[in-house]
Amino acid sequence: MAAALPDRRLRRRHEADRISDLPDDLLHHILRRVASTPAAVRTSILSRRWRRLWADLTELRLDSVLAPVPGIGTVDGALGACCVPTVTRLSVSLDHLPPWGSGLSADRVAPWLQFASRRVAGDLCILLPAAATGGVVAVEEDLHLPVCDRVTEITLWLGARFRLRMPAAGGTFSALAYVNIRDARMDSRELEEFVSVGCPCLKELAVRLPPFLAESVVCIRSASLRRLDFHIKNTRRLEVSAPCLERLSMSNADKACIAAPELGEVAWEDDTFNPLRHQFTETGRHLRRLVLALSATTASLLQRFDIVDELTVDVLIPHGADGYKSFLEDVDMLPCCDVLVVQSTSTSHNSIPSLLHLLRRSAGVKKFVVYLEFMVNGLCKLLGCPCDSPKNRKIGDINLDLLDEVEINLISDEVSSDTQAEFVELLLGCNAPVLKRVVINMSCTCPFIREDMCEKICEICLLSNKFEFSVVRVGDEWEESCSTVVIHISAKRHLAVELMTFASLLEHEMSHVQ
Amino acid sequence: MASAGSGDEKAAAAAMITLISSDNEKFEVTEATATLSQTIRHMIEDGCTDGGVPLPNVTSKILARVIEYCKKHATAAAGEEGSSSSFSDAAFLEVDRAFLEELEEFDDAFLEVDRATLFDLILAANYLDIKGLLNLTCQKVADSVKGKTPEQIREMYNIVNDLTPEEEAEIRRETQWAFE
Repeated sequence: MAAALPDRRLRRRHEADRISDLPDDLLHHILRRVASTPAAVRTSILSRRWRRLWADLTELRLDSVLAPVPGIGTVDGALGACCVPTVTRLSVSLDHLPPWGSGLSADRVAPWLQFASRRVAGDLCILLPAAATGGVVAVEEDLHLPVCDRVTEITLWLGARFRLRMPAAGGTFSALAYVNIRDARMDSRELEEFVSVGCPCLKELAVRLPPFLAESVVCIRSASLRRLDFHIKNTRRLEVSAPCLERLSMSNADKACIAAPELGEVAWEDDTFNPLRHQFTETGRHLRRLVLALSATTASLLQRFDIVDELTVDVLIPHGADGYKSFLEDVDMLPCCDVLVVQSTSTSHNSIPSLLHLLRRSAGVKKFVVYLEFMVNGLCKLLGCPCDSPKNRKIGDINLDLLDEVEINLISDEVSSDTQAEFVELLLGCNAPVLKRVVINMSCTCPFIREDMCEKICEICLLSNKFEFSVVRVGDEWEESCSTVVIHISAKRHLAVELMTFASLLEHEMSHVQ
Repeated sequence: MASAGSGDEKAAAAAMITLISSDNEKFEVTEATATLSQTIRHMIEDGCTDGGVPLPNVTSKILARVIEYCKKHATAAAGEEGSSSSFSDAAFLEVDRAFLEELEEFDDAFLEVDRATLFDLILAANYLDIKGLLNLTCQKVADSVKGKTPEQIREMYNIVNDLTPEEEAEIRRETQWAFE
């Protein structure tokens, strides 16, 4: 490269071809960052210099959403043309193809897996489009996964077109640490064997699948597994024996027996929990994190784990006065937690009394996070539902002695902005002696509605003398437009209004599909 | 070769290094800034930086830009370490986010250079082994190539097509799958 410098001035007059002067390793670096194998290969006709450069690339990227978008033939071509002995990443994404007539039969996909078995040392990812069902029961073919002893990560989203058959006993996936399989039928025995014998260092397993082929009883035994996401429809019985398991997310298991002494996080995606049928045999009462949909049928999970650092709930309140009453009872089950996150509220009832009731029963909470979409519903008033009673908007009995921080995420719109402002005002009025800050994120594409909300909140703060109000962010982030307001609690009569504008739009990396 | 024990860290942070460009201009920078370059870091570790570090492959114009980059990113690294202790978690995250945003804006503005400078920066980043700068500049070139036809790329970078029509046809035949 040093040699290229002296005659630079001379060549610049003719607008030198600086890019072709770069050494091979830098051009490889650039081609790798193009992140598309077909695009890299197309550079081979630029000039003689470029003809063979692409052939040394060790990543096969057939997952571009920018032109040239890969098809089935592109994948076959790229694998056929690949001449490096070891590929560090094979990434195929065809989920943009139409479901009909995409021609993705097992004998087209199987060679890709065989290629991975021979050549890939690293990451294998294959995403296929969903098979068209069109009312007709799809004929599933067997797709055999060969042993891939150097692959470290496998992601297979097969679009409900295959029965994924695991290799017979004997071979091991000795480097495999991460597995994520979706939308393929599997055999429970094969899955068992794959996990407990085939993958000695598996750390994460995530399966989201239609029902098992035959026996829907499965036993996951692993000495290395840290994280399990198990969602297989119609599972009759799930047994887990994993001494290192730290995180479990599950659903669809009629019965479950989990032996995991190190378990610290549970995400219960089912709408029922029955302590007689779902057992955690070696786990204590304490969890770092518990995620569930709060309802009468899951409330007993809160008795099983009654010490939780962070509790994340989806609130489901059935229609009618009885539904609301049963919600009030469910809330009584809430364990003592440091952080309470209300992830979503799905209810036709008034949001404010329900949230206030949650707070009333969460005396020890240090941080409260809520995602809210306010609904306006007049039906409760007509039906005499208790949620509508004015006494449910009283805040005198809400004592949040340890509450330090609040985060409110609002979907703003014109109709509910008064209700939203009312909620903020009520929350600020609660007895919370150590509350330091309230962060309010408003997302709404209309800047005027956001501005109006900001003004409303600012007014509440001005009237109180106790709160400092600042707008910390106005602008577009990702695909949403949002504003963030921070309210600081201060004893001084000091008002600082800062306004910073970030208009810059963070470019969303569309090429990053996953 | 100073033993960089924890007690010496403050002294090390204040130590200045002299960098000398190919056209003999001298630049005084802190060690924290200079060691973003692995090449210079190794020189410091080997104790051969007394009397300045000559960089015969880098002109003063480019070196000034490289130092500008390193200064900004060295403060970023230091800022992350420093703020974690003095802020609560949430405040720290906010500071962190604002800082990352600022850094991103800096990088974007930094890349607003003509092609010749961009390639000089790539070569300097490669020679000095500054991973962040190399990735940033190479990504800029890669992004400019994405979605372009070979003709557009040739025009953009003044690449002279020295392939005969027969050769070009042969390559297209061999790699037809990539052109479909």
